[in-house]
Amino acid sequence: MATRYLIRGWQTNDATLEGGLTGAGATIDATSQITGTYSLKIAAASGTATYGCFNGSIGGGGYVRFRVKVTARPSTTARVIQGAITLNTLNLRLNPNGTIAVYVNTTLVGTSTTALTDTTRIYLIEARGVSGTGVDALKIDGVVEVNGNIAASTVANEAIGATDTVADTYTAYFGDYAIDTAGFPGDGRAVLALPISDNARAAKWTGGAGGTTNLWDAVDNKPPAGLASASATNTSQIEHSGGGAGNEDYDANMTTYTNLGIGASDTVNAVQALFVDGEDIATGTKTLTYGVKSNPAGSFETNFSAGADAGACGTYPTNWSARRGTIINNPSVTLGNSPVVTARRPLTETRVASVCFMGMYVDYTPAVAATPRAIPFRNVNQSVMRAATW
Amino acid sequence: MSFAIFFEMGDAAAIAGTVQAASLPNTLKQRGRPFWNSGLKDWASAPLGHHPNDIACPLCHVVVMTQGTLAEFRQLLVDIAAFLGTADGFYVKVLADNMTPEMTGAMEPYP
Repeated sequence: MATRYLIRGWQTNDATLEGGLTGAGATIDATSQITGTYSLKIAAASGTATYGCFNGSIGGGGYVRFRVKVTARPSTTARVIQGAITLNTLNLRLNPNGTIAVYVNTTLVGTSTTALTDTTRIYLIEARGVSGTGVDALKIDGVVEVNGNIAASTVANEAIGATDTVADTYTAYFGDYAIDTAGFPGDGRAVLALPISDNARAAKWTGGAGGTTNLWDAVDNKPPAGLASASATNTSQIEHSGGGAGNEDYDANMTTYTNLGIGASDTVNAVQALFVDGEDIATGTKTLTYGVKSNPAGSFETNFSAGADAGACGTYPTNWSARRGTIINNPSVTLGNSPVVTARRPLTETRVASVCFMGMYVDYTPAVAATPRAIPFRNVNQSVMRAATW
Repeated sequence: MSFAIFFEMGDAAAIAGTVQAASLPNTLKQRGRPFWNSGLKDWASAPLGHHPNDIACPLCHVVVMTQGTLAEFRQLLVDIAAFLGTADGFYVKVLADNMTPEMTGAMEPYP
């Protein structure tokens, strides 16, 4: 059973929605290196921290999973590819020979036998950031590479890439990133569902230029394409004019699981809604919320102020707030139907609230491919020869 | 007959500053003068206050103008926005759009 803490795939093509990029060498690459179009590219500059996501503890132990393609290894000195070198914290380091060393802070737990030396191959990496004695600490492509002792109070860190400042470089692409708090995530993919049609619309939800149809077309841009209110179009954002009855919804049909490539034998581990909002003018508070309304049904987030009350939204990302919702683990879904993600204006307050992105990450595990079965030897020729003599 | 607008100080400053912009042609300056002299000039010291139907603006201030009409003031802002043609100008147009009974950015008559 999945207990996902984090899902990232960089499929939004937006640094903020994906938890941030630090260092000029951390970018979202669009050359289909891992899963889908986008991946995290880390071209770690010598002596410079270069990573994606938040460099901080997840607040407890966790198991990490990601796919990686290494196109250039460090020359002389290992550098971090996941986690951070800090108190009680799991970190994985890429050695110059391509092996991966598992550390907790500065204490070596063990080093892999497999080396990530094939620059065209995507490796599945899983590691344990939970204390234990004689436990599996690192898997590559599902095979245990390191078994050892992980100290008490060990925690996982969200950051992926080079959080250190070692004077060496490497280049790698990352995708399908997940952290689970209960166990190894196993093989899996992080794919992004986007709005494909309108499901339902309360009258005060419109396109940015007042349109009343195809609102989905304004909230499916990668990255989000929100604009200042005066320039808003029907493909840049949607708006709720305010002064409604409360709990007024815009429901977007999202890409079906089937069309995301998820088959009948695959397992959907978790889903997470994504949302970007802003306020048209600074005056007043405009309350919003969002959630996955159906397939699977989830709860809505706690009400919040559009754009975090930061002031009038401009061209994205100026004064827009990017949010990731509560992860729904082990959902029951109908693969051929659309999930429905909802933008909700919960209160009756006046003035315009805007939304420029709605999406939903899906973490799923492909079914295990059937293992080729050895065909028992049969002496066909002998049978044929015997028959020929009849 | 008086009317009032209700905005937080940042937006009130944008309205007042735009009406007084040095780059405006004389025709727009002249149209803005009655509003300025009859209350808009005191925007910075305007008391806290909000539209009676507004449930979400505790930081709104009420700026009362005693000359002209709300419709004339809104049209003035729209015309200034068109003249300026800048992002700041268009923002004032959006603020003008908020000066409707539904949007609770203004009230006429007031009180």
